[in-house]
Amino acid sequence: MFKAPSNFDHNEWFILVSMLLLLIAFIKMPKSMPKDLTLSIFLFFAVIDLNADVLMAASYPFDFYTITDSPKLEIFDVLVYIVNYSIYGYFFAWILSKWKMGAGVFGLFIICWSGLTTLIEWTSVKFRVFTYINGWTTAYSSLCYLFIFFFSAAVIKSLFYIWDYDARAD
Amino acid sequence: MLTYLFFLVFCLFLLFFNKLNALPLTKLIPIWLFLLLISGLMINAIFTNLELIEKPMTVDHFIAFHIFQKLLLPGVMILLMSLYSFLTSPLKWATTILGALIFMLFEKIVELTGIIEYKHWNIGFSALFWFTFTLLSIAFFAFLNSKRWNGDGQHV
Repeated sequence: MFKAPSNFDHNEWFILVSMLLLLIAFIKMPKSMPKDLTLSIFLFFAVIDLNADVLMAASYPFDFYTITDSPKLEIFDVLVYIVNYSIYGYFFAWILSKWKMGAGVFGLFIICWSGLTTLIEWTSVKFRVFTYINGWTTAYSSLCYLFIFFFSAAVIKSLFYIWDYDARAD
Repeated sequence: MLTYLFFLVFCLFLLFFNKLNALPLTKLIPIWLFLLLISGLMINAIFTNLELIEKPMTVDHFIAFHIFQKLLLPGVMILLMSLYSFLTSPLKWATTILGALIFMLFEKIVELTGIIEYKHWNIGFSALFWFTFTLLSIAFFAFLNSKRWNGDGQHV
């Protein structure tokens, strides 16, 4: 069902090493959120990234980049959705939960996080995790990340509210 | 046009959903996201890897398909999960068969409206696909409500 990589090369190693680093960071970090909320955050970031790729890299409606070796859905693509994007998104949510920000600091945080994500994407392009086509560049990605993380922050804040409300009701 | 029709169907479905749903939001949200993830991965594998079904290639068909996949499909599955939690043990697993049959019917409706186009797809694939989807969903629901998940402390 999911395609195996045609060559086990740079992009697969990049995914495996980043996955390992993310897993170690996740295991080491202090946990403070309820299990169901943590699971929801993981799933939310896996879903939003899968849908962004379906929208922008799956021939229709747009086809701006290829992930890993081919336009097909590969095992490593699935691993990236389930592990890498999820844990990376969890860090974003964790900072939002720990750091009470005003509007200005919040805006700055989103810009910095989008910048960091763009830098990681730029590195992953060098390792051929992403191959841009049809005129796409990292600059366009950075604008998409701004939108994605503003939207994600709104969803994450809503999730915090729902779980807080539920805890108070109990 | 199909987009408006599917959206209308979803709004009508929402009225039933609010009356029938027995799950709290803190369970409903992870379940809905899980359903989006596995249906997204499985359907995209069928479209792009196996090429058994032609994906929607017009704006109207594309949006209508996503209303079906992201709103109607998880909604119906969540109602099936509510039914699963009410039934006693031997009948519980019958919901997987019921779910597979309902989704096969939905898939046929989506195909008849022209949103998707079969290439090398048949009823056997359809039964296998929807049974797997329903089984995975019920298994996730059972896990989320298990003592193993809920028992040993509130935090991960």
